[in-house]
Amino acid sequence: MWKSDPHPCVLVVEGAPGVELRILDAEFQLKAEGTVSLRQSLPPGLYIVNWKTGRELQKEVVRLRAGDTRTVRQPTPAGEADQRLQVAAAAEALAEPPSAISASAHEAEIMVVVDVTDTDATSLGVRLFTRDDIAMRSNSSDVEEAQKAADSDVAIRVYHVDPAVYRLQYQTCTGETLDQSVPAIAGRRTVVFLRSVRGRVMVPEGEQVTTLDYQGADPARSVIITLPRGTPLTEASETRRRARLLLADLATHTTSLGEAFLTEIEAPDADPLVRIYAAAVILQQLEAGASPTLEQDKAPVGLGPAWRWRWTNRALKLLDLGKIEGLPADVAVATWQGRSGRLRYPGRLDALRTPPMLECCWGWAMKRSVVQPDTIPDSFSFRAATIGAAGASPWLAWRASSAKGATPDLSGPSGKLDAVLKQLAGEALSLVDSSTPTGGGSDPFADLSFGSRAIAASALSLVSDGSFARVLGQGIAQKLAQSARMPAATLHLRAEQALAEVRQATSGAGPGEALDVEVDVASAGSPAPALSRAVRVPDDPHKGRFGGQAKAGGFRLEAAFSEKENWVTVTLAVHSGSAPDGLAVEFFLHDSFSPNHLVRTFRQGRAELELHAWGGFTTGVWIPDPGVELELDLALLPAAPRIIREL
Amino acid sequence: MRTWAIIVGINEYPAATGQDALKGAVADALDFADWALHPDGGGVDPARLFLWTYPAAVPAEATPAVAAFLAAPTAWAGQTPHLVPPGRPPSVTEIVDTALLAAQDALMLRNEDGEESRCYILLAGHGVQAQVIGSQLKMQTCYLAGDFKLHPTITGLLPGDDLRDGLLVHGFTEVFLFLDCCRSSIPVYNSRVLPLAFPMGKPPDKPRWTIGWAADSDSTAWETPHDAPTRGAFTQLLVEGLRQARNPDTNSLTLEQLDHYVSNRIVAAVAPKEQFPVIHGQPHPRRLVILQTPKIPLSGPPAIVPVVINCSKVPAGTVLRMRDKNDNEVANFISNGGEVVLNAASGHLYSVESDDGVFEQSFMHAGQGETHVEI
Repeated sequence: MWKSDPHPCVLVVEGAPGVELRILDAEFQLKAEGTVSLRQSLPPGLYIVNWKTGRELQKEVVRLRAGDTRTVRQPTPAGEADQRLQVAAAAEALAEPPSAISASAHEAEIMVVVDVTDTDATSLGVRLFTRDDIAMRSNSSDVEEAQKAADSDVAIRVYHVDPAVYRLQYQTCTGETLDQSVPAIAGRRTVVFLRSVRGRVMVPEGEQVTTLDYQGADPARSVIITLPRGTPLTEASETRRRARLLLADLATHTTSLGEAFLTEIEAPDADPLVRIYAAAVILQQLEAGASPTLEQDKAPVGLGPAWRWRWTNRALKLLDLGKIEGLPADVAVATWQGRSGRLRYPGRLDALRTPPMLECCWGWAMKRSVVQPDTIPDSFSFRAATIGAAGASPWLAWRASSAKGATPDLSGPSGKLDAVLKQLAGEALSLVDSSTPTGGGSDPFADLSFGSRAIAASALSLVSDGSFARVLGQGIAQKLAQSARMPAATLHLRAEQALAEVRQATSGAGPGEALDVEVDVASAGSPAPALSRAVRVPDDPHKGRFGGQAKAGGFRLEAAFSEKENWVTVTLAVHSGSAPDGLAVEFFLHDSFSPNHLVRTFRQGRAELELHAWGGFTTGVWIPDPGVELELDLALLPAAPRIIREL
Repeated sequence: MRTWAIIVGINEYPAATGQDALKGAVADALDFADWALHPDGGGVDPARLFLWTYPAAVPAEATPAVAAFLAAPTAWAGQTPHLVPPGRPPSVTEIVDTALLAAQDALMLRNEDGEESRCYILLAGHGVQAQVIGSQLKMQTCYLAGDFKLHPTITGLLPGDDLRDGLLVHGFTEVFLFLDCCRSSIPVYNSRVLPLAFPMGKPPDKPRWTIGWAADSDSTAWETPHDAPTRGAFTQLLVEGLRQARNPDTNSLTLEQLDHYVSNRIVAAVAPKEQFPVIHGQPHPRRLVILQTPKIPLSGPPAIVPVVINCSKVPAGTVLRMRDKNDNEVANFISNGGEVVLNAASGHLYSVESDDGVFEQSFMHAGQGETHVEI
C-alpha cells in the first residue's frame, strides 16, 4: 500500500488564517483538514482541495504523482478584490482634510460605507441616534468630498462623535427600517460596511399574493470594525476579512478559529471589535458543547473540564480591553457569560446602557436578567429589541417601529419565576405523560395560546435534556429566558399565563382567556376594506390603506397628546354631528400595539380611544355602518410632541 | 432500522399564491423516491413511503420501482387508499398529519420489538425564511405547501425545524430532512408563521437528525441546467451522492462525505449562478452514518459530456493527454493553440497534461453542460 511506497507524495495546502483547509479524494472522502498550512502524505492520484470560509467554498483539483511534493495556495476571490478597490477609492477621497467642525472636538468617529454596486439606492435612510434618541448629523463636507472622488458604487456618511454607543438606523432590503447598536470607541474610527441589495417581499393583496421589490441593506451581511483614527481605509482589508469570518461563525454556530488566526486576533493592536467577536465565538461554541477551534473537533480525552476552562480563559482575555470609553455592552455581557461557565458566583452584571451588538450576547443578557432584573432597563431601544428583533444573526437588530405601542412591564420581583417555571415544566410533563402513554391521542395542549405553547414547549425541552433534575433554582429560568429572548419580568408574566392555561387543560375546563389577544372587542360590522389592501410602507402598515383622509362622510378623526416621562398619551377621537349613540367605530393601530384593533362606540357625537405610544404612526378608522374610512398620520401633526414626530 | 419516507414535489402552485412554476420539483421527488425504495438506498418498504407530486407523476416517465409504487400508492392522512392524489398539491395539515401518524407507528413498533426508526423527508418546491410564532429570534426555512396564503393570516407554510423536532418527539429515532427550496425572506411586516399543530411531548435526550437546505440563508435554490432546467440542482446532486458516494473500504456514507459531494459539485451545476447548500446534523456529521450499503449502479450508461479545453497557452503541436483518477489515459490530442473538444463521462476527476509535465491542469468534470478547462 501507499505507506510503504518508496516514492510518497506530499500535498501542501496553504490558506489565510480563519480558512478551513480540506483535502478530499476522488470519492469526496476527507483525507486531511487544518488551517493555514496543511501538509499530508498521500498516494498518487487526483485530489480535491477545499478552502472553506463561512458560506463560501473555493476548490482546486490536483494530481499527485509518485515522489511529488506540491503546494497549492488559496486563490484570491474576485469579490474581495473588488471590495478592496472600492475601499481604496474611498480612502483616497478621504485623504481630504476634514472640516473644521469635526475631528478635534470629538474623540471618535463612525463611518458608514454603503456598497451600492447591485442597486440604485444611495443612502439607505441611514441615521444615527444617541442613547437619548437624539439624531446625530453627519459631517456633510466630508461626505460630499468623499462621494465626489470615490467610486460611485460606494456611498459614505461620516459622524464625528463622542465615545459612546449609538443606535444606527437604516432601511433594509425587505422594506423595513432596522436599528442596531454601533459603538464609537475613544481614539478609533468605527466603520460600518453595509451592502445594499434588492429584496423581494410577498404581501397579501386581498386574496392574492403580490410581490414588492425593495432596495436596502441586508443586515445579516453587515460588517463592523474599528481602526485607529487617522488610519486609511486601505489598511482595513485584513481586519474586515477577520471580522467577516467571525461574524459568519456567530451566525452559523461554527468556528473558523485556529492557533494562527487566534494569534493574530490576540495581538495587542488588534481591533477590539474583532476580539469581541472571537470571544463570542469561543463562548458560543463552548455553550453548545462544541469545539471552539477548527483544529480539534472535540475535547481531548480526559481533559474535558480543564480544556473548557482554558478556552474560557482565552475568551476572557480577549475581552479584557481595559477601561476604554465607548465599548459596547457585549464586553460586559460576554465576560459575565464566560465567568458563569467557570465560577459558581460570576459576579454582578451592571445594568446595560444600550442593547448589545450581537444576538448571542442578547441571549446571555436575558439569562442574566432572571436573577438581576435591572440588567435590562426600560427604555425605547430595549423594549424594541425585546419585541421586534428581526432575525438578522449575528447582529441584534430590531424593527425601529416595534416599540411604538409597547407597554412597560419590566419591573417586579422575579423571585417566584423559578418556582413558576418548575411547576410549569412539571405539570406540562404530567399532562403529556397522562395523555400519550404509547403515542397517539389528541393534543392535550390544543387549547393553549401560541405564546403559552411556546413557553410550555421550551420548559418541556429543558426537562428532556436532563437539566430539570440538575438545574434547580435559577438555572431553568435562565435557560428559558435565553432561548425565548425575553427579560425575566416578561417571561414571568408569560409563564404564569402558560401555567394557568396548562392547569385549565389539565382540569379539562377548555380554553380560557388568553392575555395575548389580538382584538379587544369583536367587530360587529363588515370587515374593513383596508385590510385587503397591500401594506406599502412596512414601518407604518396602515399608511395609505384607509383612504388617506382624516375627514370623510361627515366624520372627523383627531388626536390630542399629553407627554409623560417615558410615553406620550394619545387620545384619538372621531367626531360627528349626526352619529347616533352606540354606533361602532373600529380603530386600527400600529401592529406593535397589542391589541391593535379596537372598537369603541359613539356617545354624544364622539368616539374616543386613549393609548400610550412612543413614536408616531398612522391610525386607520373604519366605521362599518356608513362604510366610512379615515386615516391620520400622527407624525405629521404639527402639535405632536417630538417623540411622535421624529421616532 | 425501520425506515419511512415522506416525499413532496410541487412544480405548480395555485395562482393566488403568486409563485412561479418550477420545472424540477416533481422529477426531484420521483428520483428521491426511487432511491428511497432501493434496498441499497433508503430501503423503505412501499407501505411506508408517502409520495405526493403536483402535477401528478406520470408512471411512464418514472423508474420501474416508482411506477410500480404509483400503481398502488400509499394513502396520505385523510386520503382514500390506493387512489391517485387529488388534482392539487398537499396542504400543511396533510403533510404534518401523515408524518405524525408515521411517527406514532414507528413508536408503537419500537415499543414492541425495540427496533429503531428513521424518517427520510424531501420537500421540493418553493420556500421562504420566516419567524415562527413562539420563536423570538430564530428564522426557520418554511416550505410552501399547496394551501399557502398570506391573508387574513399566514397559512400553508411548513417550518422545517419544527417538523424535524416534532417527529423526533413523537416516535422517530432519526429524522433526515432535505428541503430543496429557496430561503428568501418573507417578513410579511410583523406577522409570523403559525407553528405546526404537533401535539406537545418530551423530546428525546440525544436526538439524531440531519437537515439539508439547498441554499444558505436568504438565498435562492436554483434549477439546472440554467438555460433549460429540469431538476433542482441540490436534490439531483443529493440523490447522486446517496447512490454513489461511499467509503470504498467500508461501503459507508457519512453525512460529512455527502456534504462534501454536494458542496463541491454544485458550483458547476448552477453556473453562472451561485448556491451554497447547508447540510448539518447531530451528532457531528463525521460520526453520523447515513448508509452502509454498496453503491447503487447508474440506471443507464454514464452521461458523456463535452470537455472544452483551451490550449491557447500551449504551443501548437504539443501532445496532450487526458487521464482519469487512476492515471489511465482516456483521450489524447494535439494542441492547435485554440480550443479542443473531447467527450468524457461526467461526474469524475480528470487531468490534461503534456508528456514533459510542463503543461497540466486537473479539473472536476461535473456540470450539467460542458466543462471548460484552461491549461
